[in-house]
Amino acid sequence: MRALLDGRDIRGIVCAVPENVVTNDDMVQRGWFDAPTVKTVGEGVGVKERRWAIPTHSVVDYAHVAAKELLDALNWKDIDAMVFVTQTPDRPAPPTGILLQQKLGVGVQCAAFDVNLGCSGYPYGLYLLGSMLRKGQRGLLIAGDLCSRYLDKADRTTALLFGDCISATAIEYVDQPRIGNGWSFLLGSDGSGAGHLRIEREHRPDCTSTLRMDGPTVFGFTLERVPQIYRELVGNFSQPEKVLLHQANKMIVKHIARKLAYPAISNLELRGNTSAASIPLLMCDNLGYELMNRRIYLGLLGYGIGWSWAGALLNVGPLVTTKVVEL
Amino acid sequence: MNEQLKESLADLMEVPAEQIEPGFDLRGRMDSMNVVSIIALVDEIFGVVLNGPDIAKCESVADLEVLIGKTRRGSAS
Repeated sequence: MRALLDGRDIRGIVCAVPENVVTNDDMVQRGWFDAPTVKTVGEGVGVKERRWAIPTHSVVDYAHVAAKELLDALNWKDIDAMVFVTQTPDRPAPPTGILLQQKLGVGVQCAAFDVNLGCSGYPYGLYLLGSMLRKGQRGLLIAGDLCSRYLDKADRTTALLFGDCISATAIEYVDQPRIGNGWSFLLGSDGSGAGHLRIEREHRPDCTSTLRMDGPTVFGFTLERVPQIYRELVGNFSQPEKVLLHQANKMIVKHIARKLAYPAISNLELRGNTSAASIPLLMCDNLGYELMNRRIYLGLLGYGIGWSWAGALLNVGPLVTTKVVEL
Repeated sequence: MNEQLKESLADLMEVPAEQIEPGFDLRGRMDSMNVVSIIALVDEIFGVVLNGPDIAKCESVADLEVLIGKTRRGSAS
């Protein structure tokens, strides 16, 4: 699906990550993997450490920290809508977005709901929330997962790769749409990939569902499909100044960037793959200062579990805030 | 054999390049990291994306060359 939106603008981004740092050395010391495995796989996926939530903190807790910081920075007392993109809700129901509405203390006129998407979730969420807002309205896109809740600590393909983060992005329908302010999207899905990256029920002592990934097939899908998606997204539009790729792993980011002829921008080393939060976290970590000081024409590409993909072309900045907070 | 493929496989398998011949045994060497690396290097050299499970079935470098050839012909047709 192709879609165009006009008049919407991002005002700020805040990401919340756990204080708890788990390094590759920690994994060896805890006896999960031997040192050579951690070295080989850690270098291959490009992750040296990641943040994992402690059991007493919930998805809503991290979302609350990020959203409150963002609303305070913008001096927004209320919002009209909140879209919560996550695949790791604290419970199946009620929806996480509704729990966050109450915890944030925003008014009951706020439309709030959850969207079950992973790595493609951020551009999807921008489209969804952007579509809902009308002139003068404001909303929050919350996107991210606590993937650590679903990791088998003996599975090197996932335990070394994933990190936790919940992001909050403030979007406003601006009164005076500017020329060149439009957002362009390309959204798609292909359920033939459903078996290759999934969370499924496995009754183990430490958790009841587990994230499983067929790494080579995921890699093949991204290498083959994502450059096509990008070319279709850009079409007759001008090439973006920077392209931000979902931080799937080092090899994927490196090879897709090469195929798109853009420099690879990455924060994997200290964050890991943070699912739907990876693009906003990259915006804060790697472009935070720039985005607070100038307007940048960006290409955003999210792709993964489903298969599902979403690309966006949009101008972002100057933002009121770009921040990473810890809980 | 393509020289770049030969050198890249030698790097990956941590053996001298002269050992990478059609009969070089890949059995027991095809963990997921190596499969992913082969997908990447073949894409870089030949511009085609191999199927991961098909790579894992290759028992020798000769099998891998056949797979690359088939995939290139498939993508060209």
